[in-house]
Amino acid sequence: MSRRRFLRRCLQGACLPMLGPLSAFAAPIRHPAGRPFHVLMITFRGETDVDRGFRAYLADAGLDVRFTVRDVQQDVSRVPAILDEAKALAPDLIYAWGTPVTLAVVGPHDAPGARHHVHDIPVVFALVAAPVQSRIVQSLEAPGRNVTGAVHVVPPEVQLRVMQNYRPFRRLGVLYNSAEPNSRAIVAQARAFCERQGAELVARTFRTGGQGQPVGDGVEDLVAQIHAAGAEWLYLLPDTFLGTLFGRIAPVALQLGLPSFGAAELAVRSGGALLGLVSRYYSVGQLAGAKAVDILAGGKPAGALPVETLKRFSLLVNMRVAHSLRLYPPIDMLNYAEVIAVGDAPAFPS
Amino acid sequence: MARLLWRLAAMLAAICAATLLAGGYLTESTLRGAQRESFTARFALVAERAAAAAENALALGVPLAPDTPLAGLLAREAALEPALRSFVIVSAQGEALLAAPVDRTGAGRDTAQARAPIRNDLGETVGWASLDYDDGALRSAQQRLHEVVRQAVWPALASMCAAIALLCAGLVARMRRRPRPLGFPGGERALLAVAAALLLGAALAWVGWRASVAGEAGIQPDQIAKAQAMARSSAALIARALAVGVPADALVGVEAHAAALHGQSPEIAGLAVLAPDGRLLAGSAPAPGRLTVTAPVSSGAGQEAAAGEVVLTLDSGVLTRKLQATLLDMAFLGAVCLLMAMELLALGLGTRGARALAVADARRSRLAHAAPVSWRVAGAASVRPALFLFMLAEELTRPFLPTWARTLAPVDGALSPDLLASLPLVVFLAVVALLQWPLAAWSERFGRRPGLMLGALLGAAGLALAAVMPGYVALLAARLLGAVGFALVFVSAQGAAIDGSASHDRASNLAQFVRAILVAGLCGPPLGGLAADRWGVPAAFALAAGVAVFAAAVAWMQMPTRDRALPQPAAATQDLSWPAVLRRPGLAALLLGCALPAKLLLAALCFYLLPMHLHDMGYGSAVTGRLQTIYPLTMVLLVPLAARLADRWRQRGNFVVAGGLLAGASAMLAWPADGALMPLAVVLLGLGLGQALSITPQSALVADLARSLPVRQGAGILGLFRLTERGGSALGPAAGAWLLPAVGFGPALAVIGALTLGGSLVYGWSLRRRAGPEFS
Repeated sequence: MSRRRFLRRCLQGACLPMLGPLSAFAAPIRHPAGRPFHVLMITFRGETDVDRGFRAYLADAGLDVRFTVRDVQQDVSRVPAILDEAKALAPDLIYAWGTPVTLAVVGPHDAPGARHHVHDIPVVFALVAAPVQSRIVQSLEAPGRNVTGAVHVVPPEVQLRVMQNYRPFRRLGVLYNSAEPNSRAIVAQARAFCERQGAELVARTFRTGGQGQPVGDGVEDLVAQIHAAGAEWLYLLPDTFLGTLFGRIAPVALQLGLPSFGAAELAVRSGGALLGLVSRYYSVGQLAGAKAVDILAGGKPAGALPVETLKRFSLLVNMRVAHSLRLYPPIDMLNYAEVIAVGDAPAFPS
Repeated sequence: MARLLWRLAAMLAAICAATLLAGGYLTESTLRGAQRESFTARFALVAERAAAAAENALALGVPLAPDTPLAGLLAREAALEPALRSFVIVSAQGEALLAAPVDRTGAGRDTAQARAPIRNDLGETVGWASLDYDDGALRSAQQRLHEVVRQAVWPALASMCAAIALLCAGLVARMRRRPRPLGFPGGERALLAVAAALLLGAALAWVGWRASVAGEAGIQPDQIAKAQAMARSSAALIARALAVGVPADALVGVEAHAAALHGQSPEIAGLAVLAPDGRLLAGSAPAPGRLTVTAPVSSGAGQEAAAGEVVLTLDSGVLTRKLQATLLDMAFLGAVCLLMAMELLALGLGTRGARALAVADARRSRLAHAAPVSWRVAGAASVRPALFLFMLAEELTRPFLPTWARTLAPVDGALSPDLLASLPLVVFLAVVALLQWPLAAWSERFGRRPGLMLGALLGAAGLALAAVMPGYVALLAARLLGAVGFALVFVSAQGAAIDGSASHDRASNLAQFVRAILVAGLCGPPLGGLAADRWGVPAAFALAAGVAVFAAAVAWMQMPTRDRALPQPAAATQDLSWPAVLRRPGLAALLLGCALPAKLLLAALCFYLLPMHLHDMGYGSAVTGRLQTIYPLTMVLLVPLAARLADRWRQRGNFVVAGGLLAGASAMLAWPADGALMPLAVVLLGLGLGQALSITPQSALVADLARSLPVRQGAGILGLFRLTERGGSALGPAAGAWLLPAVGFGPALAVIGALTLGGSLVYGWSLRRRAGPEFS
């Protein structure tokens, strides 16, 4: 988005539902044919905050939009039928929720295109963690095909800096699934960060089963090993398998006095992590909405719009864990942190 | 003679008056800036707090409704700040979403606005926290300040001018009564100049003292109000920490918070969080007797008793130190202006007037001492004002050139920013070194006056280009153009000084030429630094361009239109057997061991490392400019003395060695001193002393050798010596740029110092090895 355009957008306002009445002042922006824009929203598990943020952004930007919503109910095999229907619907833009849906809609960029994959309608995705590794786009800066969108994962370096601000470390512990390319990439970035900071990365991988799949056996021992190696933080990566083990990792880490940092919201809200830096789903939807506005109202091709992440993230501090560890947040952090599990109230689930 | 003395006194009085007025303006603008900053900062702080609260509320989905904590914050701040006229949260379209209940009827009409943006997670501005406040108090305080400065400046100015006039009248009356010269060294001119300097110093001190007293009295209440707003902000943060469950005795990050406050506002010296019983919970306890402000820490909604208090300790000396820095600027300004006055004597009195004054002095001196005195007036007098002005224009850029180049340097280039920062300097010095020989012959044919005028105009064009096109490539092009102009001015002025002299007074003519350059080096950096700090670097370049144009105009007005015909200069290097020359005992060691490292060290430190290091330490160009004067000042004062002693004691070689050792050792001291300001001044002093000891004996040794050779070879040796020196100058910034990012400031300087030291030792060893007379 050009700076001029960005500033104009800011002046037009538009971004938050709380400021909703503002858009009433501007004349609605319609399709050049004089009709409302038509957006086909393909969601994965019903309506979420992401979808609400997406719609709100378009509405606040003054676009007159007609939405057609199709939910795959966590089954991406339903996507081809929806795309067949899309031919008749002829939407101006398709919104796709998450990696599986997006891949089912556009297919991998380096694979021969299946007949039903969409090429001629711009697609905007939201909540895709690693669009390059997932082969949705060739690069974040220039997607190179009729697809763009919003990434929700906070860059690892930003997460590590937040850890340093909360509690400076010389040794950082990480427990990950070596079979997961995304985890390996994050660990490599964490190692490079540690080298630059003069710190050491204490990495342990999950044990594997007969077919090479990760297993949770001995995960408590692995946490104890990381602690014994002198780690001052345990970095919990955004890994599905790791997420299933929060209930076993958190008590051990707490008992050892080892604070953990969650890259996923769930790790802080109910996984026993002290701290986490996450993207708000609503804001991720808004960012996808900004891309849609650029395509619909700005007339830009989706392939020329970079895939972006948010400029600001949500810092979560779990006070109950902070009490247990006697590790309280620096006061300046309270200017921007969202503090949860305050007092005796239990942490509420996401 | 009396008329000339009156004209000199009038010129000195005019310069002193201009300096005093400029000093008054600088003092007042410093105080006005401090006052405005203190007054407006507290409102900006309140707006930023409200914007941060609104961002958090929106991010958490809390609506901006009248019964929310944000509305409470607005109401509390409005109640605490009597100058507040309105306090609202507005949408990006300007619609008011929340407003504090402010009822200030009968308020003054002078209102100002403070706004802070409210951004969403996408970084977009979705609203503003906006407050209007009455700034009538600020305007009236600034008006009072203006009155005080005015009332201090005008009487001081009148008294100073009257005192100069009285002194001049007394001197004229004395001259009429007794024709014998005055006992004061330097005669009436020097006495008038010294008296003017003292009077100016006293007047500046008076203005500074009056302004600082008035400024502190006027600004302190605003500083306290600002500190109270900051204390409230810190107290709100502590209250939030307590509210989310952080125990009062386990607060984290209070020291870092205090350091951030100090960074924002240097007058905040410390922060303490005290329990209701006065016990220190966090931070540093305020020292007894220091000025403090307090703010209660709220216990939470509905609770009256405070959970503690935040105490901010104020450092009332910050403003005083700021004023002292301004006064120091003014003192330098005064000294520089007086030096300029003496340098521009010929300009102010007219060339004929200056000559007449010199002849009259000489005549009276002859009458007094009956010693033979040359009545011949130096030919350099005609070129000196133009040369000085042009060199001044170049020296104005000295404090900020490398840091400005680093600012403009492209970040994604193949070269490092430090190397790119040095490139304009290296290009300039290398072009000057390479062009001097060809341009010298050209200037001979073209004429000294047109040569100098053309050079000055080229230099002015280069400086103007740098002023109007602030880009890296444009800066390189500008320095290239400036280098051609500089080389042309240098050779034309040198040629004019030599043309206008006979063999018996050539040395004194050339000494005038060198002195003009040194005094420009003394005056330029502090003035340039001051201009860059006050008006920005492009404006400082524009000022330098203006001075260079003035230099061209002065050359046009004052230089003789016809050059005296001179024999064609020897073609420098033809028929020269370089291997034979370089095998002369000690010559290679002198050139490579002493001449080259000396200039390399000077250019690396003064032109590159010093400005970069001070900039990185957070000092402004004015401080750099002040430090850069130490070297030329030492040179101006000590070069003649060192030259006399070296000749008298017949120890030229040893002076060269001692100078190199002293300069090298001084540079090495920068490493343990860790680049602090005072030790740096000592390093520069050591460098100046070392160079002063060695520079003239070096030239004399080479000149002696040149005289002992056939004419062409002699000229070749002199040319080789100058080329070696200029090569060292061009290498200096490049070496500095290579070493600075690799090892840091202190070690970089120490490495170059060690090179100088080693070179001098090699030369000393070669002297001992020959164990005979020097190669004279």
